[in-house]
Amino acid sequence: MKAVAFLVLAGACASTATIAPVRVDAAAASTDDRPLARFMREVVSVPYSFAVLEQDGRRRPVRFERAAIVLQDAARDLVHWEDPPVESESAREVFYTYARSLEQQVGSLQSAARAHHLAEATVRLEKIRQTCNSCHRFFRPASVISKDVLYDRMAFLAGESP
Amino acid sequence: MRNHLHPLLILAACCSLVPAVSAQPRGKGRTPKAATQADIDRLEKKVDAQQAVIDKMVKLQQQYAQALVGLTDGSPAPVVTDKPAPVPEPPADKPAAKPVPAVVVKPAVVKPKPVGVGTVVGKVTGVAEAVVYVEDIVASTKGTASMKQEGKQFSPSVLIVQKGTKVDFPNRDAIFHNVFSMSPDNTFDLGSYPQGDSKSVTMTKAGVVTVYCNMHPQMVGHILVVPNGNYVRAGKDGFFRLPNIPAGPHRIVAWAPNSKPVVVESTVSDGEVVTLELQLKKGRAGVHSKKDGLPYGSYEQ
Repeated sequence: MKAVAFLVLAGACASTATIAPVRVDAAAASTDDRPLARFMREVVSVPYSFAVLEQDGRRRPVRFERAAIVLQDAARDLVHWEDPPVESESAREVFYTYARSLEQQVGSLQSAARAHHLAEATVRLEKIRQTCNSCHRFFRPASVISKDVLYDRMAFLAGESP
Repeated sequence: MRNHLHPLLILAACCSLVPAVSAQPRGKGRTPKAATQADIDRLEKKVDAQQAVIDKMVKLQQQYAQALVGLTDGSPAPVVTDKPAPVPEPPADKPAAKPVPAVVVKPAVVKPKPVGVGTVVGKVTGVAEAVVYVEDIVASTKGTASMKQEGKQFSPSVLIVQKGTKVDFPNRDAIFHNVFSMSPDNTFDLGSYPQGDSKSVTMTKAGVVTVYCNMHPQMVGHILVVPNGNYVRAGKDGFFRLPNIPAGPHRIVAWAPNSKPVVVESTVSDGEVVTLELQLKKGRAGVHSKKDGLPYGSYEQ
């Protein structure tokens, strides 16, 4: 079990750190996303992954809360991100809508984790995953894949259709 | 919260108890006996019990009055109950009174809780000029909009208006135009009019209104009459954002000129973001006829 968890964690980290673009949208890829991508890798990815992959139920609330604290700052940064990878005003509006939604969801995650409401926190974490996937689908120029946050990314790499 | 007795019911209950305490034996031929000390003690006990009952009833009446004051000044209303009100303890030698039904106080009018709103975002692919709107909310307006005839074209060529909008068709060309539409829900013929004149049509039904000029076949305009204010033009890259959509299930429509509309059903939750991807197929403008059904350039025989 631990070995499996380790492999999944390693895959998750790899998925965010060294993504090999599967299909590249030339127009989208032309947008410079490097600062945002680096921010995601260095700030967001690890605490989120640890929270999702924690197998020990007793430790999960702690993982969730720690992730929420880090993600709260990250979401705040995203809400004020000056140069999002967008090419139109309407796209910019969509990007910031996701950022504000993430900020709100992370707040809910933090509250649920602090209160040790594990089921509620798990639901909130899943909502965060969905928000991440939606935003990545539109604004992650390196790889135009449907769902690349954790399990769905693994499923994609395993050959399942996106 | 406590139950409360109506004052009249309390009074009735008092009256039912008084004879038991104060009535003296009456009857012809009966000689009143001299009261013994035991009789006096028993009577004093009854008076004490009666006094206790009266005290309790006064207290209940005070509570009732407080509840009424509470209803008028907005403080919490008393709980409505179908249980019988508590009955005061009867005197030891008196059978228990029947339970008095509780006074049912109508609860204060509770305002419906706001439904809450969510946001719908997403991307329309396949066409460049898409409009996304919520189909199942009806809200008319009395606004105005304008579609000019200029350079033998309609300008703008695509106009989005809310149901109930009055659309003006000013003629800016130095020639006559005759604007008409054969769209089923908004059929009209404004007749010929010269430069500087304007005629108008109020769009009373939601749907697509394709407008033509009876004299110039190249003139084609599209008016999308949407049923409410929840609509947005997608950007050139297809992204759109529809904020403040009431929570609940909705039909979201993507439309573009000469394309078949795409309808998706989606549930919006309070404070949440729904993501949609809508694909439209670019169609081709069909050949249209004049308002009399004949092709352009022909004359009725």
